[in-house]
Amino acid sequence: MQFLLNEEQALIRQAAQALVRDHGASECVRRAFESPLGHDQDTWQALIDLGLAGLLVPEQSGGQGLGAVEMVLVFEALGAKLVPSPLLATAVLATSLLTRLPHLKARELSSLIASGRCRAAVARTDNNRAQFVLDAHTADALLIEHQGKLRLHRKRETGRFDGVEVERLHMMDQTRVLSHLQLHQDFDAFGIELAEGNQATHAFDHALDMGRLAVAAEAVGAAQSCLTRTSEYATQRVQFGRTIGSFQAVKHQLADMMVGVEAARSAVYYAAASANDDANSLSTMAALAKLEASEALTHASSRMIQLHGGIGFTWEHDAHLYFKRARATETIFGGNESLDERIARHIGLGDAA
Amino acid sequence: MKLAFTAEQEALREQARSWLEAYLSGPFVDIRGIASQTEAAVRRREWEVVLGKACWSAIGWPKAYGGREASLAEQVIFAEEYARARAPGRLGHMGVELVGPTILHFGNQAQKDRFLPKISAGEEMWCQGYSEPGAGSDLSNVRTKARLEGGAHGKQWRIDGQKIWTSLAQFADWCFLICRTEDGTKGREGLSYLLVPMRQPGIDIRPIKQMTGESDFNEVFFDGAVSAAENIVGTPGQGWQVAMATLAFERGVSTLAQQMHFRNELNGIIATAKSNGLAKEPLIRARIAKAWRGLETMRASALRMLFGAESGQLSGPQFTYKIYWASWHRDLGELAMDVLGQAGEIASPDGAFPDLPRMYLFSRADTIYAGTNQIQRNLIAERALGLPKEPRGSA
Repeated sequence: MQFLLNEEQALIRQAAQALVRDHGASECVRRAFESPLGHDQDTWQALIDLGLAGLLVPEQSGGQGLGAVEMVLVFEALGAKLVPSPLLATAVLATSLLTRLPHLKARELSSLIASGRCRAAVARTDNNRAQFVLDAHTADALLIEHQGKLRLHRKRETGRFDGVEVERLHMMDQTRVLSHLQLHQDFDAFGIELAEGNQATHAFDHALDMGRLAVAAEAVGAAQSCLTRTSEYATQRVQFGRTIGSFQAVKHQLADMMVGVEAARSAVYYAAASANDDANSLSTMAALAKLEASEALTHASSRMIQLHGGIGFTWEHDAHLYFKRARATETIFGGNESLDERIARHIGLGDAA
Repeated sequence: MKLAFTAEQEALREQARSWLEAYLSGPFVDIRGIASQTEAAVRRREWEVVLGKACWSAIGWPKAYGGREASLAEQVIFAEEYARARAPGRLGHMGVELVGPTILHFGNQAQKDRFLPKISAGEEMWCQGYSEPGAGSDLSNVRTKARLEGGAHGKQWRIDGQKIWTSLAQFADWCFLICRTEDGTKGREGLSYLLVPMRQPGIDIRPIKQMTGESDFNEVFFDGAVSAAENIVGTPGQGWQVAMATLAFERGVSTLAQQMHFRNELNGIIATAKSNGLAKEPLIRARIAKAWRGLETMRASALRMLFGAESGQLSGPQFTYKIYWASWHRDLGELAMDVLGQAGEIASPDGAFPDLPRMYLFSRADTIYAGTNQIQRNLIAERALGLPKEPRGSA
């Protein structure tokens, strides 16, 4: 047991933080999410250059072969500035899913992703629709679980997918782009089947768990930013002849923010380390991490707005970006209620009424 | 970052587990599971001696003083196994966890040789003389005085004053006391960290009956009590730094044993909810799930804090840990009562309560002792976040 970062992990964190310093300024992030792509191409290239597209891809497939701990360190850094990028959908969801599949095409696609030449999205259908699919609008490849089968659909030169319609949404949290997918009746006539039955379902569930963990790490980074920026503001803003940070009404709210942020960070690191040691624990621990982190971010971002006063309510200030991200963190990849229910069963409470 | 233990560490776990099981299902079965600080004190004192003889009392200490020089991971294992075995609460806790590490760090060789072996052997019990009626949250406002005077056996300290909220004073052989040794000083200046024998005529101990109906804490009156001149730890007049270091040791490995105790309480709540059907109610399920999350998170924070401290890194939980566990435990008390329903309010004819309702009442103290939640928030804001300090009154 050693609950500290090792040297390699510390270096990965430093590299990710350096990238965010270069690409995470508020004006860059805003320009990126207002663009048609929804992210900045240079930022994505910088992530690829660091090898992060292949973060979870095994070394023999051209990736870094790293694990959950390294993943959360990278996403904590990106989350601090809400940097939009295809990394979550491509390098976490898609590669986590693909590495669970023995199919040769799955290996090939992992390699392609690791090389930075493919952006991917994953979707699970209900009837002929898949809702709230992350980054489908820019995906070169769609991995779709539909009626017990997992299929790979590649984008045509026309920029469209055969048998699938992508309807881009404009969400409250602009830093992530979600889409609805509509499957056409001839969907099965295109693409390649990679897996079916339990193998497909388990691979997909594993990908969602890794996604929850990455989202949780982003939320920790974001909540830390809310705390840091609000503390700075409280030491500068003067009212009644003193900095507002000298009032206990303000200090104590900031202290509570820190309690929440540190708890969430502990939960996320713990979940990642547990997942590395024991893959069976991932599902419960990812639920734990996402719940703790999203609660911390909801709290920290609400307090950020409140403690900034009027300026915190403006479009110009970044507070609303964190507040909106907090809401989106609660709902993405299965809402938080379903996760608490998962934990309730795990700890032996049996079925609900 | 790794949570798993090595095979060698697992071997220590097995050794500890079988030793604890042998003693707690054998000669000490009568005190197994006693969590109360005051119950069966005579037997728990015997238990301390047995722990000491087997070198389980202070496993992280140097071998020369009765320890095993166990690594942090090994200490984690023992703390968790100790609690898992439902071994009784440690009567020797203050010696092993608080004053022992302080003497190891700040004491001179004579003090180490005199005090540490007796602590690890379970032969001397300790209590902590910090709070006073006028020095609660404002701890440096200590008024208890010690004056150096000539005595029959050379120079000695003569102590006058009053301490309060002193746990285990009635069982203690020694007290580590913060007192004012320099006349005319105020606040943190002029305080010393003095070791005082408890069994002497000048000391009067009076239990405080608390809202649980029990007496975990005492008032301790010093009226001409004495201690030898050499019993100051660290530099005379600079006891504040030593006293604060002791408080830092309070956030040690034993916190993991405390968590295991919390886990037993949560399991009790889960068992109750399953038997009375509330486990099926969505709101109760969500609250129990949240309590479980909090406990897992607490373990993670404790590990960050402990491994961070060992490597000399400051980590966030060093600041946030106390308020987190205390608030979590208070919430757990409320959850326990909501799950028990009205039956949880039934007392025995002598006014005693079963474990969970007793915990509900006692947890109101958790957010007060060892730094109230209000003080914790000030500390976090000022020390971790760099916000301005509270202005001091002139009184």
